[in-house]
Amino acid sequence: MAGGDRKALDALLPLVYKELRRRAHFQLRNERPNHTLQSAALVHEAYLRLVGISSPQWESRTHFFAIAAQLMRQILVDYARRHGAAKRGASVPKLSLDEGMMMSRRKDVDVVALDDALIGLAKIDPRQSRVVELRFFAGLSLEQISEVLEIAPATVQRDWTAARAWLHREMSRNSRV
Amino acid sequence: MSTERWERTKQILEEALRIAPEQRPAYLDLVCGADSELRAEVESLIASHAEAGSK
Repeated sequence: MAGGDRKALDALLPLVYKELRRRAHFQLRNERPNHTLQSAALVHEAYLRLVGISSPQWESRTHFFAIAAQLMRQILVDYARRHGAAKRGASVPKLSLDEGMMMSRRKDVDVVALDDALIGLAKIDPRQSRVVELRFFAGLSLEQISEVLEIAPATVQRDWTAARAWLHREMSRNSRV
Repeated sequence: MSTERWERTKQILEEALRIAPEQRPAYLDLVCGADSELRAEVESLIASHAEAGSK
């Protein structure tokens, strides 16, 4: 991606954050407790809207998703910690995942538990935690992740396989899956 | 766990998942040798992988 595009996108960051936050909170507020949130879909909608209003000359939409994944994670975890702190697990938003992204046979993932596990993983393997972040929070394919992180598809596949097993174990240990 | 050790764990896990389950003990004998901690870690991840689904 050209330097100018990156700059243009960075300038839009506050707008991206605001847009994602607005969409996420709107959805979370209007759902019943223990709702699920399709974060990848939200990120995608936000992208379409922002492209519509600002028409940036982004060569790489994957760069947008790379940033949006981090923002989305932050927004959801902040929300979950604020709203779920009192009643542990009661009204914490759950991520609804595509089948290919399932952590377990259950489709919903506790965002706070996932965040905790990812923080642990990042200490051992920061790149691998990025792979998971891009997959979970922006719904990128393994091919797109390979493009964003500039690593071989086989490496992404290996990271993803090991991360799923590792996270599943860590989250089961904390018995919050 | 150190980063190097985790890289090694990931490689062994990937290979172990690629081969047939009945071949895994022999493979783990070969690559883990006397390192029982490494072997236990890989075996634990193989179990979690199965629980999480095969995708």
